[in-house]
Amino acid sequence: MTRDPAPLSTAPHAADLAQADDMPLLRLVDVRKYFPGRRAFLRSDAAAVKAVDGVSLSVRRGETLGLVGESGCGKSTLGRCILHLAPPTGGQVLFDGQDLATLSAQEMRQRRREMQIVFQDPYSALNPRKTVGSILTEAYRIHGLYTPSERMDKARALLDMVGLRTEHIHRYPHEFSGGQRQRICIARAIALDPKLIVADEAVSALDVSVQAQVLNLMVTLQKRLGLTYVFISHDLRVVRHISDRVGVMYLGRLVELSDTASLYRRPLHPYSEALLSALPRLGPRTGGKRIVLKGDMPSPVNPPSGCAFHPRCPQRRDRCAIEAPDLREHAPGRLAACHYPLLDVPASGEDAAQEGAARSNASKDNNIFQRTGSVP
Amino acid sequence: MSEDVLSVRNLHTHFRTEDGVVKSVRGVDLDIGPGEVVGLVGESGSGKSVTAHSIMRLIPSSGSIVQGEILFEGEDLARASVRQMQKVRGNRIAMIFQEPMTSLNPVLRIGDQVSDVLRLHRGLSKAQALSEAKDLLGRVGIPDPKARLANFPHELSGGQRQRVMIATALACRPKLIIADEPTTALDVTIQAQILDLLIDLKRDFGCSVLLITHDLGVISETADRVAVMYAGQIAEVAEVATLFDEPLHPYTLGLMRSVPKLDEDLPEDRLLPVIGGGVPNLAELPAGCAFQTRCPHVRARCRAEEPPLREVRTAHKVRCWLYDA
Repeated sequence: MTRDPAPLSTAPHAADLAQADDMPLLRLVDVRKYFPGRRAFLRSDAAAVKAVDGVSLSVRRGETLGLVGESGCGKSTLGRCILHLAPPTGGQVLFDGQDLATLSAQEMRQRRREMQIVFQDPYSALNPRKTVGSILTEAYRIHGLYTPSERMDKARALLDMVGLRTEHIHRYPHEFSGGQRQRICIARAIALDPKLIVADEAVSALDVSVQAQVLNLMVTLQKRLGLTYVFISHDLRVVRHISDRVGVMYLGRLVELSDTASLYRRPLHPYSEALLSALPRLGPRTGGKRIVLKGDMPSPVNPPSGCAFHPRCPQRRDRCAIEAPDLREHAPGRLAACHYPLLDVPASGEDAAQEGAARSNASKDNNIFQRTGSVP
Repeated sequence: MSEDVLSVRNLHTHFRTEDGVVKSVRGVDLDIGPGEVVGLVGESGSGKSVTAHSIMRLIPSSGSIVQGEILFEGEDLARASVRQMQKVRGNRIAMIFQEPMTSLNPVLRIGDQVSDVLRLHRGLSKAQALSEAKDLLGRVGIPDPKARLANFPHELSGGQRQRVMIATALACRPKLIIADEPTTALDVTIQAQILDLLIDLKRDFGCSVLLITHDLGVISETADRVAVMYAGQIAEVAEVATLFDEPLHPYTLGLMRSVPKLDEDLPEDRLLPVIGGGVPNLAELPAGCAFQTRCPHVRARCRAEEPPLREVRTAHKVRCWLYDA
């Protein structure tokens, strides 16, 4: 993946310059989003829902960061926090080194051009009473860019770029299939030439064959336009395919953050391991039994003590119920929030400790023991 | 195959719409043996759910079964009366739907919903039925089943609600369970629990299962045999291992290739092999093979003649001219 060396349009804060020579496009520092609890009669002490509870991470220019987790883990809320669609109740979102919370409404509107979102449901994301041309030129109208005829030319170019026919510009959303509608949503997202796109379950509602088409489109556009993606999904297969790095969320927290290959080969956090093992395989299961977690995800209103995962964790020990683990680096570029990461367990075959240079070789060796594929 | 629990023969189900007659199911043949789990896989609009609803005779009034037989325990359900169907549904054939929140009655307690089936079909008294409902809830892995009897559906999680649906389905010891996307609305870790439960129960209760899903992974982990549907027809049917090792139909192959793999090296360009185009309009299908517009192997014959579903290997049928010896 080519790193986009685009010059910064805004001067970064001095503190951030000192932090890194290669400043990430997006940096989250201890981001929190609490929703106030429902107040009942004579009860004002309702507990807050801690949808996102202290997430810190960076997204490099041109990379795709996957965010996975089950419903209620806070991944979508985090996506909205990144764009300040739901301003965080704590922590900072630094976009190009600039804290979004410090921007005026006017400045924020300018910033919004550089960050876009694509939602899961292309049916509800498009106004049914507007033509595709009107939908795609809306952003230009709002920002007062180009003349009306230039806008339509731009819209045609966008349709072409996402693989739709330019003569369909006067059609309405209902005249398109689900996959085509998602292409329209993507076209709208890239209209203002953004730097960052948050894709929130962008391919989850699509059929397998259409999903593959839209994923390919996203990969192609990323290369062509130097986009950075935050790709939020519950689908671990899709996330592996598209992401350079992956963050695993559980109950509002990041429990693991790692490069994609290492995470899928040898997860550090027991929750990541269970999640991966629960995924149905195509073809007969080889190597490794399926870990079936007991119980449901606890409520974010009243999370368990210590490590939030401990009641369901097959590896839990006494300490886990008392002390919440921090997200720490256990191997180069591999972070996990666990007192007893799976790194410490002697692994069969390649040990996860031998990371780094041996990575690509190890991954090949490892594959010999796994199924090499379900398709001839 | 007289010992089959269910035998669907040449089923055609059509719907009348503004755009004309939509032929959702176009000649489906399907056999399910005793204790067998048959997977029916396909994308939206392939006709898999309409097939299931036809078997249960639950198709909306704009649609009808225009041809074919649905033989179940010596009875043709395609021609059964409403009264006869009431004795079959929920009793000898039970159905589990995708969204347990919409298929459970939100204003009835869990205990009443599960025990209603027992009172209706087995004539148990209220107390007997509640006691058996409690046992059933325990059997499907609901913790503290006695307390749950008094709960309303919204008080349970999605996974627990699906367990209640399964308990209701099992209440009358059906011969056949039709599970329509039973885990699609659930998270993966909960999906794993529910799939394990379904397999356990199938073994203990000895019923057959028709499992409808769009997820090839779910099929691969639970089904004995798989039928792949495309545009209202069965494109390919085989034992599960055979189908995944050696898919024959170009559609099956394309479908499997377009699913990102977990244990293969990623392609350098990160592009997935895709099936081009989209599903054809079922109201105006072309002559010949329904897959012709998307098929990489299309020939003149495919545009002229519709291929039949033929057995080209032992217990492996495919609807494609490529295998016409």
